[in-house]
Amino acid sequence: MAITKPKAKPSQTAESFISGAPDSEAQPKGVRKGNKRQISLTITPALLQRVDELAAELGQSRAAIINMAIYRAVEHGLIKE
Amino acid sequence: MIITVGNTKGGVGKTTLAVSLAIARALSGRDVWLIDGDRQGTAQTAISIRAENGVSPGIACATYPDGPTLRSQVQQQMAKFDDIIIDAGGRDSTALRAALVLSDVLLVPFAPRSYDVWALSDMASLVDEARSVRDGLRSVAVLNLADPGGNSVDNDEAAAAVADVPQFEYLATPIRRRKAFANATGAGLSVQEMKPVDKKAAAELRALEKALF
Repeated sequence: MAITKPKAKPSQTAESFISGAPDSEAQPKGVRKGNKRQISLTITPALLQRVDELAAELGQSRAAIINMAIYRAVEHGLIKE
Repeated sequence: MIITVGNTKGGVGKTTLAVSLAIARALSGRDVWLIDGDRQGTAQTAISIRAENGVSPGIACATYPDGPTLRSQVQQQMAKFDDIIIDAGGRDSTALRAALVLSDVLLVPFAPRSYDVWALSDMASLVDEARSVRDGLRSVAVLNLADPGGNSVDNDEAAAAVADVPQFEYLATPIRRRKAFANATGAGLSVQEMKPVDKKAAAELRALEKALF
């Protein structure tokens, strides 16, 4: 019996291959870090202090707090209703 | 047949080769469509000069630097042409990738210089990626801007280096560094049309055309 090689599953489509080029507009911004993007953020020392205090209180990292705050703002709006 | 002349490295003579091949095919009586996938639009400019000078046969030429547009346009119009030659710009771009998805043959020109040989592996990984989304892409590397003369050590070594990149098949039809190529394509002509004819240049182009089509 001849041995047939399994056909490799296409890991991506032609569309995703084309849009993966560096000049594609669909490219997310920031520097790739694993599945995430690294961006730079400037912040006042006072606000940073409060972020860090909240992080310590909740036992979370600074990045986690910032992410959670952004998530809430994006999902539920920036201004309280 | 759809041929892409592509290399993520610039300055290897992609546009010169694409324009030359398109005209060579037209002179062989084929209906040719030349596609300029480079934002610089050099191929399109060369063909405009040809058209302004009223040189026959005229070459149909379009510029699509945007990959998705290039893909949809070629898919729509491909049945109308015998041969489509795509000149993809000298960097990784959506146009180059779209061309890789569409083409029967990828022609990778490279000069017998270290930098060019190193760049082959970048192109090879792009070929691998393209092959993961499609079947049957033939990819060939050909020496362009090769040293004149039959016994150049650099030509031989560069050709041998292709063996290290299994994605490419080496075409033993080198195009040598001749003024005729630059002068002819600058005027929107092929070396076969430029008077006086550089017979060696014309023979090299014919050999490459024969090896590809």
